Amino acid sequence: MSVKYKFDNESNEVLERAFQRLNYNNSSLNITLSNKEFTIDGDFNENQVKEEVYKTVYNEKIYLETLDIRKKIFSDL
Amino acid sequence: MTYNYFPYNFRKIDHQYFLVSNISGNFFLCKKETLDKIIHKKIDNNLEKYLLQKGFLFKEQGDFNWNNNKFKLVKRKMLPEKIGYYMIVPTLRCNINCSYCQVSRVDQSTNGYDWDDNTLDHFFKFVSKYSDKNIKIEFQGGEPTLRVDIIKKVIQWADKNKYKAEFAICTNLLNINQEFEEIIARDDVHLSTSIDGSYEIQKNQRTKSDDLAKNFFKNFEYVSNKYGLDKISALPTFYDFDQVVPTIDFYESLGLKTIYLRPVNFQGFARKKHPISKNLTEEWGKIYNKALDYIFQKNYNKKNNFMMEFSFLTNLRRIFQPGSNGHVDLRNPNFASRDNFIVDYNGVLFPSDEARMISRIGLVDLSLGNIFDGLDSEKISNYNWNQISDVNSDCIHCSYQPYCGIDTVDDLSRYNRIDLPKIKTNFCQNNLRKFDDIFSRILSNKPENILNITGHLTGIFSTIPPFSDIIYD
Repeated sequence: MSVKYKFDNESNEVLERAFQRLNYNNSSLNITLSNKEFTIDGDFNENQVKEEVYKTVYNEKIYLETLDIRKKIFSDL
Repeated sequence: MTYNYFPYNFRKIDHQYFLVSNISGNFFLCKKETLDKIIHKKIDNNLEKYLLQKGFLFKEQGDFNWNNNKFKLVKRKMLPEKIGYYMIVPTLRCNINCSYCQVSRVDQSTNGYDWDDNTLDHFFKFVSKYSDKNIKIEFQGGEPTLRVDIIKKVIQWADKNKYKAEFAICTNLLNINQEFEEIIARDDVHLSTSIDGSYEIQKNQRTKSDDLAKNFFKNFEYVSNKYGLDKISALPTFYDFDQVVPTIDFYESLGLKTIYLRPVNFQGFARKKHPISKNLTEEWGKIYNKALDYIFQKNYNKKNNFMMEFSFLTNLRRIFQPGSNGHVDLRNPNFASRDNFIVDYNGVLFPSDEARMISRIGLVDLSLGNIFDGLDSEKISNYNWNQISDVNSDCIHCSYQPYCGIDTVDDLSRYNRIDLPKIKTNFCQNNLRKFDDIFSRILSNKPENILNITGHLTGIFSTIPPFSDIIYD
């Protein structure tokens, strides 16, 4: 099976980090990232993979957008 | 929007709801449409008001919302400054040989595995130096009642020096003589024992003889009848998972109000005798959830004598009661030498019983000093760097990070390393499943779930929960 998910509105940094995290946590899948589009090949449940990509990309986006605040919070403790 | 978001994560709980939790553990549940609005910052006034109310937004550093968030975060991470809990091993000797003995033990007749007066003296000096007057001392083993004289001396010393102490004695209940009973009779002494199930199971897995099994249950009955069930607690270890439900019934028949459902642990001698225990995560997870359903349904059909499950209680408290940081199996940071120590039979100090076990079998030396020469500060520092999930790349992306713990000793024990992706470890998978289960039960809105969640949190089993307004949509 092969699926593609495109994230035109997300930055390259978010997508690159999400790509690394997806690879890191899903070693059985063949994942590539090109032109803001993930291509995933392998034997998998499509809904599960779709959710995993959504979760990974947007949790990464949230992480980067709130990273400065995270640092401030910990330095304020 | 004039507000900033605190760092947060999300996770899908069921086919339509997501858990959204922030860095201090505030959370709510919502549908994907709402989550998308939050992620892409397209929130209307109502949603903004809700996010403010749930503690997800602030205007500037130091404002009310910032400080509120900071207070909760500190509470979730704060550990005591003094050592308040000692697990001590006055002897490594034991008079029975359980097949999956999780702690190290030697035969009853072996010499050289007991505390002597010098060890006692140094233990007292160590406690005086590192603790205030509120302490809890747990006597472990081996079988500590083989050295009732040491138990007595420790208690007398605490009395004489005006400690406000509590004592727990972890015993197989095979020796109750007059000297031990004088100790049991004290209000500040509590007993803890292992009951794996019915008479037959207890005999097969623990005592190995009819006489000893009979003696055990006779003594359990004697203590519980004479001093009440508050005097004694029991916990099972499951190797045969078909016995989980019958054991719940058996605990109920004994009048016990709490059960701790846990599989045989891949620690200590169990590593050799029960190697299957290394990878039981998925199988145990299914059994555990069914067992919890069973307890919940039983409680729902009762008017009193409700039963609690200890591990559900621990995970639930971590979500709803910031500051529940006393359980070393589920807290973050989980620093050594902050509030508890294991003092082994030879005076060597360990951060946990599990650390003592894997040190004893020679896998890695996790001792952190001894009561004679003091603490090994460098080793403690190195150990502690790996005992905080806020610097782990997997954990900081997880919605359950504010509630979860960290246990590198378990990783070492199972995988001989601490750098596996956390998501692949037993510890992570086990707690993901438990937290998923809790939030699914909350979402289910079934009365038996609400009653049991409420009961575990407050001690009052009612279908009126102590929480509300946690679902946005």
